[in-house]
Amino acid sequence: MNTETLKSEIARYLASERETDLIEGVKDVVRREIFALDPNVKIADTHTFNHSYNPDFIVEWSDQGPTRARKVFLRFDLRSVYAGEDLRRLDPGSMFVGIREGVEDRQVDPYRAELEDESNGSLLTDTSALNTFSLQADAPMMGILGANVVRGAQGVVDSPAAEAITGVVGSDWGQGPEGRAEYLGLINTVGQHFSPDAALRLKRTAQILWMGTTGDLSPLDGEDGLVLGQLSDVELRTLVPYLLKQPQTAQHLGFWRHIGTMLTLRRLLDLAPDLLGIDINPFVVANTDRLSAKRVKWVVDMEEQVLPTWSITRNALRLKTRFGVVLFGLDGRALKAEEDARVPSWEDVAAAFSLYRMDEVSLAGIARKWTVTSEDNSSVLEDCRRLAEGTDERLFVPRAVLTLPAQLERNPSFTVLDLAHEVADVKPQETVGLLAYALLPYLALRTGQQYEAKDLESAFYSE
Amino acid sequence: MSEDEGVIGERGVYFAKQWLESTTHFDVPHTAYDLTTMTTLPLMPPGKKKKYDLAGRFLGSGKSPVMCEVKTTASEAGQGPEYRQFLANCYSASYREYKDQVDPKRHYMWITQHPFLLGKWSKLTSLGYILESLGEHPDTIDNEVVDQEFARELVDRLWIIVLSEPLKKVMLTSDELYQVRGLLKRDEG
Repeated sequence: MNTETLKSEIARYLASERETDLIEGVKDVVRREIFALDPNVKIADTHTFNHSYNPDFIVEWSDQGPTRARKVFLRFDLRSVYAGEDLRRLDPGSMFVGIREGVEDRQVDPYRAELEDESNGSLLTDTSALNTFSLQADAPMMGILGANVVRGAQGVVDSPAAEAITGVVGSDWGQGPEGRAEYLGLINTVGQHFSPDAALRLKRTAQILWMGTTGDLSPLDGEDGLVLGQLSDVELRTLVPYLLKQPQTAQHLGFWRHIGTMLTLRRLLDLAPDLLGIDINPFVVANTDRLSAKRVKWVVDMEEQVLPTWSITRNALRLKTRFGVVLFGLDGRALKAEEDARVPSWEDVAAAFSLYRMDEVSLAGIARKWTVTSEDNSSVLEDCRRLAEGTDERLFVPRAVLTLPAQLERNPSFTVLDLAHEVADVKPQETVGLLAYALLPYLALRTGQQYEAKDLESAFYSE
Repeated sequence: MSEDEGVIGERGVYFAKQWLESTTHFDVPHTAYDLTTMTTLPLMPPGKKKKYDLAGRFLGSGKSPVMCEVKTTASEAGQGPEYRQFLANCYSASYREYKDQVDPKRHYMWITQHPFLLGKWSKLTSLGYILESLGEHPDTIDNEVVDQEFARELVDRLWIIVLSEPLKKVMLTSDELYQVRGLLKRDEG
């Protein structure tokens, strides 16, 4: 909805003869504007209007932490916030939204400085200002700016101020030749109008967009103060899909490694619906040594495909190779055991097991079963060989516990291979890179092929 | 009126609104500074209207509407005549609604920071004083004969509240009120 349409809609409601039409109509417009700015919040209607202490709405969100809330008070204009001494009486950090504009003797300008001084984290804005931000919310910087208006803008941000801010940020921010100057201008602007938390998020967003679109990774060298920390949900949903779709960004391995410091596998999986149809390889390849899984499932299946590729589902990160598919997830509910899997024989796995330090191996014949273990792990494989050679029965291996080479340096993580169900549980967790390197030789042997290091080179990060 | 005087009067109106809402018995969403359509009532003479400073309603089952005239003054000055006009207006506005068969049984409040007419204080909301005020302002009721039975009913819907500035110091804070309101559930009646 453009600003003129919004104004005429509000004017129509304000002219209502019935009080309920006025109140419900105006509140609906404001609710829509807030939701357009930040679709990830919940907006609770308290069923009061222009009340002195009960807010009209309570906006709630949770973003990698406890639920946070902001009270929203509708006022006919911002002058009434001044006359009603709302900033002294009401919660710091509240949002006041003026719904009526252009009334000559109700201008806020004579009191602007005083309101700025007393704002104490509260935002004083109006419907047109909110609309100014929401109009361009489809652009990545503007989308994140809009969400931060709801969550952390402060001081007097009426229509002229909103236009000044969006003028600095712009819908194509960071993509022009003046990226650096634009970036510094934006940092200055958000510092004035947003809480420290929100300003930090916006600075991080600006840095990421700037680096991702220009390839200038100088902030990674400490220039301009690199902003770290976990990406908020809004940043994640907006930035990662957008940048993965930018052809020039895909090339910047260092950039994607920087993003990798701000993302876990769990949050990447949360993002799966937003990544449908998008090539995620630039990000995953750059971070195979950072994304950690707790559960792995594999499907042995020889394919002609030569280059391994990453993709994502709601439940797992998926690696497709010429030996089969490996799925990396976080728990058994998401990656269920394969009930119809073929239990491998000792001959199937013996060669692969020699790659690992085996802590425990279960062997099963038709009549007998053994669990082979030892105090110092050194003789487990040898003991298994002797058992296999000393019996006429063909022995199968339903389960094994092993420690991956790199895990030896970082005890106490270990891997329980449930070979009978083609899943493994890793405790506490291990990087997808290490798990794949450990598992693929096994898959190669199972498909009767020779595993070669180049099989994974293109899909994994290496120094 | 200077700008400062304007803000002082406006602050008095907002204080009255805040105090009424702090009792937890009222919601008063409209002030004369906001939208006059919600604070203005037609009177008996055709085309004549009265704008009040506040308009709201009781919470609870009745939800009777409330109209308030607020006087931000440090003295009695001029309140006597203005109050009698207020009474005439109350009768006129209510009787107009009664004749139009839309009488919501409004309450009317005179909220002042300073008492007035102390010699007649106990009579100020009596039938006799309403009739005296109507006699003083026949034009407000379009020179019609007063319906005494209707005027008698109005007595129970008239309030005079002296709201002095120091009361601000003992009002519950907005945060306390916010919590109390949730517990009382007065607006569910």
